[in-house]
Amino acid sequence: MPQLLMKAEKLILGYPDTTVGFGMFRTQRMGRKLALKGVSLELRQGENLALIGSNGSGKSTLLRTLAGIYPPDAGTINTFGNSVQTLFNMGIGMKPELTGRQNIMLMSMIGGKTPAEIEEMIPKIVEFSELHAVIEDPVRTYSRGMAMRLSFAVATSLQPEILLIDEWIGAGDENFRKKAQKRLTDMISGSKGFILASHNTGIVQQYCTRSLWLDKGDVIAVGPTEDVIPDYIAKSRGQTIAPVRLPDTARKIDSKTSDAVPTEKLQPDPAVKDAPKPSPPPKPANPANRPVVVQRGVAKPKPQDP
Amino acid sequence: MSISSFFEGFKNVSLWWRLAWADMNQIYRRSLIGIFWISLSFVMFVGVKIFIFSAVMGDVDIRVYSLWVIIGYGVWQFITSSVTDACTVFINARSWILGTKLSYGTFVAQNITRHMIGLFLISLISLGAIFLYKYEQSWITLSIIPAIFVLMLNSVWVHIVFGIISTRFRDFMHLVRSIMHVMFFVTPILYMPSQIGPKAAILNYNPFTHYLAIIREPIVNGRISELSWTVVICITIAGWVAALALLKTKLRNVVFWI
Repeated sequence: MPQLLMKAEKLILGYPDTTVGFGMFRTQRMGRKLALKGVSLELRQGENLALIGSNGSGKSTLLRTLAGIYPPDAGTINTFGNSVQTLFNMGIGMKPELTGRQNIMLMSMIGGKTPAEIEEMIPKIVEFSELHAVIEDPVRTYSRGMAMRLSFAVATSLQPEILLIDEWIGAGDENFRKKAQKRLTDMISGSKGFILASHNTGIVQQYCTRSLWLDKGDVIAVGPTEDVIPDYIAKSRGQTIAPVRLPDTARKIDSKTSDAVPTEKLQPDPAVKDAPKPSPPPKPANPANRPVVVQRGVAKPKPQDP
Repeated sequence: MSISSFFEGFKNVSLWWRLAWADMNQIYRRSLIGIFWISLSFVMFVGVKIFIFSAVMGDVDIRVYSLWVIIGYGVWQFITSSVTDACTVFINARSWILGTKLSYGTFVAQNITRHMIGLFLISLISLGAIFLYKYEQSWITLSIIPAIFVLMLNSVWVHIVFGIISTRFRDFMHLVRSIMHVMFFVTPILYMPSQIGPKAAILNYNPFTHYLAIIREPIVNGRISELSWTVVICITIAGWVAALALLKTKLRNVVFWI
């Protein structure tokens, strides 16, 4: 059996109540909410673990807990001395008034590198981000895409042993995206193992050997991806088919798409996303076998928002 | 989430120095004189005060009064910016706290560095004033070195205590801000205690009076105020006890409260 990289046991985590005041003088009520209810997991050398589950199932919370950002109420996390890096902090630390080079310095330091190490990394980062010409200019003069390329290049140049990823990232224009995909794949193969939280079952099947299915903080299933994902797809289709209203154009594209590779073009009607799910799904708008995919990030509630 | 992990952030000097410097860059971006706006706006404020108040107050020695205002207001600037920024230290670092593993001490060190840069730029002006007025200084003036260190120590506990409390109770920071506005007038900055007669005794119950005195007395009056040092040291110890208690019990909640 390959070496253990990370082991988490019986993690319990609840968001504390943040209500202030009482009676009519009360802030928005935020009752105590249990987000992880005894989650255990293991990550072994060479293994890629996916966290899957619907919005609010606790994927991001679990990832943040594993990263050491949220302290669990109970349970233990052991990383056996392996360095852990998160890929959900892209762009944090980007200061618009500093130059590209100064930003590389700052963002890499936040990632835990020393100035000497960063000096060595800088040429490679500049080359990868294709920003030679403007690297001494303030980042505020960059286009959105350029700024994204910069933060992506920095984030993926740190070489951790364990990588935690919240949703697969795409950065920049079509050309750069291909490069980015390759870089991400390289980074993953450079790490000993990674954990990816994602809605995208296609990505999960492509990259992850094992999957852990979360629902409201409970582990529903954990095992090889090819065993877990079919059940998950079946379950989630049953749940989300009704409330998502699809635009007509998307419907046409979608009916051609196979089950396993969901498109990400579809966007739920924002007015509908919070509506309670009707228990027997009303059929008319939806022929039975269509995969419904919510564009990632769009309908995702952030449980940590007060 | 232990106390030592909090202070871990203070060790990464090159990081918090850069962060503080980047903040300064951001505030004074694209201006010609940049951070020297701190000095300039200080000179403008103090200049006008001295001009007006010295006329109103009549029999006061202009040299003494000027230095009194310059040193007093300079230290006050540090205190008030420390106290009000302390309240938002964790709230403003929200995305950093949720997205990175940085020790929370980093943000406190970053804030205090910013205030220290401000204090430094203001003290350049004070130094200029001392030379300009040919104000005689004795060895006693050196006592401001430990005094500035004590001010920094206080700034740290204030950041911890106020930072944690206002993260949970957002009303706290508004309360603090309002109180600091009032305190400006209840603290002898623009006037000297001798000018308000018998009411001056009340000033001794204002802790800020003593925080100013440990720096201003040696420079302006060439003496060390024992009472002021005693008060300041007592508050510093009490503040640190509160800070350590909050770090131990409440720091882990900050990430959920922000």
